[in-house]
Amino acid sequence: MSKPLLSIVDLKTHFRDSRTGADIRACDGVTLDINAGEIVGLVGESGCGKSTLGRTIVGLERARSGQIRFRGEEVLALRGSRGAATRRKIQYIFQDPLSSLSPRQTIGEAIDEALVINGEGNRSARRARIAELLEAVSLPAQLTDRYPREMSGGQRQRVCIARALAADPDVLVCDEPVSSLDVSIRAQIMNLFLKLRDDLGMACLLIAHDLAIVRLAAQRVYVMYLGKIMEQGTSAELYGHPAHPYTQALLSAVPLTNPVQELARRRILLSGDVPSPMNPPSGCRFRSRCPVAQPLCETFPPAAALSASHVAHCHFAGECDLASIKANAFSAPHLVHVQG
Amino acid sequence: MKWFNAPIRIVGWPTLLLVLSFAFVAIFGSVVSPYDPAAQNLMQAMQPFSPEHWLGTDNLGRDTLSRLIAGAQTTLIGVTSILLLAGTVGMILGTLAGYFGGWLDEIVMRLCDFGFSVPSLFVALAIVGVFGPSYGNMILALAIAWVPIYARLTRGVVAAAASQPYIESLRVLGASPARIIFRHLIPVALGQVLVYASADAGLLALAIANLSFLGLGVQPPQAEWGQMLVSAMPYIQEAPRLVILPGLALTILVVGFNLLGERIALAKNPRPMARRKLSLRRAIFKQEMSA
Repeated sequence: MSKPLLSIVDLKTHFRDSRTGADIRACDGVTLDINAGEIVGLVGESGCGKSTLGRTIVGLERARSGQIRFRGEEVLALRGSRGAATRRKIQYIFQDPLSSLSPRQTIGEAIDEALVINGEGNRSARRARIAELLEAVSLPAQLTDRYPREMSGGQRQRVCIARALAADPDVLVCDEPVSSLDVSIRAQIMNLFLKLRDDLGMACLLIAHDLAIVRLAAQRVYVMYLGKIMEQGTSAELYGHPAHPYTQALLSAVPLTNPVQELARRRILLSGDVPSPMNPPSGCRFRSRCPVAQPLCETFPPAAALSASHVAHCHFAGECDLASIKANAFSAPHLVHVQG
Repeated sequence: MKWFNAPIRIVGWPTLLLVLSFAFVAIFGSVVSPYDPAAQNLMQAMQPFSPEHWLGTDNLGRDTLSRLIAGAQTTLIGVTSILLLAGTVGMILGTLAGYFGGWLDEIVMRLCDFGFSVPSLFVALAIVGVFGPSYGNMILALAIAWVPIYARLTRGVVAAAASQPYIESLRVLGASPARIIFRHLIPVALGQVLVYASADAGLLALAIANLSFLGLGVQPPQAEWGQMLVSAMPYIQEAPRLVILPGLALTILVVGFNLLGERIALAKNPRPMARRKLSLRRAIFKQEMSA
């Protein structure tokens, strides 16, 4: 495979807790690749650091250490106008489109401003480009004089995407782009991302907690827990043969459309809360909630490659299958509740 | 007349009329004034209300109506320049502190804390004490004393707006801090500052009168209400109108500014929260008045 478009190497973003002075390790050594024209999913529970990772990639948070390589350049080391020009090629889509548009600007003005920032000085050229961008996101051109509050959620999110496209990006980092939208609108927006990939070769990092949405769009998926990547693989590998106990638990919570399968679905309920990112467990991050944790898990788990693309960070990668384990067959039955 | 309807609906006729008539008197004072406010005529001293002198004359035979009009001019020019100065400096400091945060924020806010810990009038007193009493020094002193209020107000508004996703998305698009500050944050802050300033004007009018009353502000023969009050003090028994009239003018002006500020604040924010904020502001105002 050729060199990835965007590659993130051992990226760490820590926050300082103002009261205790301890480090909150929101994103703690993440390595991730995005190829040109590829939609990559990033899934995990709330608070696992997936949004922090996205915000660090676009420069909204300051990385503690690690590398962000974009088209062969080290983005974190770039300064000044050159850095700004490179960073601009990675754009961000927020969860809530209403608050990510200024209430004082019409959407035409908002996109126009993005074009001005991108260095387009000619007014009539900008006007033509606004029409093009609105068309690219399937919005009628007469909406340019509307204010964000006068539009629907789906329309607003399209405007946000159009504005991001104004910077002529190569990668879109989308942080829960559809979770604030009506279910009926979600598919439309997801199809828009697919269309952008097919028409413009747009790469996407799709951050979501909704596994079904990610499965619909992403070619490859990363699973994150407590600031670390647990498992990565193609959609087919990850959804078909999850190798990490955490991925298995996560997937077991997704309802199935086939009623026969749905009746047979066993939910793996993890007990306890996600540990504090200020003081994560040693070794495997998941071991405090893992139903099959062993003493070995106190040591740092190796990256077990199950195929060229499928990697699980677990001592027992691929050996355990939580879904097939009966509750009473477990050595520690209080840790797992299997519902029939 | 559409442009005229909106302010009337927001502020209401009486308040608008009150404030506008003061502004009119201040702007066209020299035209409508029947006599030179500084012209002394000892033959006509201590005259009661009469057709020649509608509001009588003072102990030096100066026309009281003319002096009240000149006083309105002095007060309103003072209030306007102080608000412009304090508002501009306060907004610059507050915006920088709110947007960039960090040590800059710490320094600006600790300076504000210092400013707040001493009543504004005392700060003004100290500055006038050092530089000597004059109209210009009084304006400078009050402006400096009022900067922390506007710095903190702006800082709060800007800090809240700066963490909004729409500002963050501008940063991702590559917008310069100058663009974000001047095109997006300042307009938000300006709205809040104007609302506050419209109510604050009354407090400032009082402060100017206070300083002049103490002989630290406007110097004779320039007419100013507070200064008129103090020079009329010896005659409070024989001619109470000399004390009552400037006091009344000041009271009406302060009430006018307060009504204006309240109505604008309510119109901007018709939710119940605004009313609670308003009563809080009233309480702060009372506290400042008694200080």
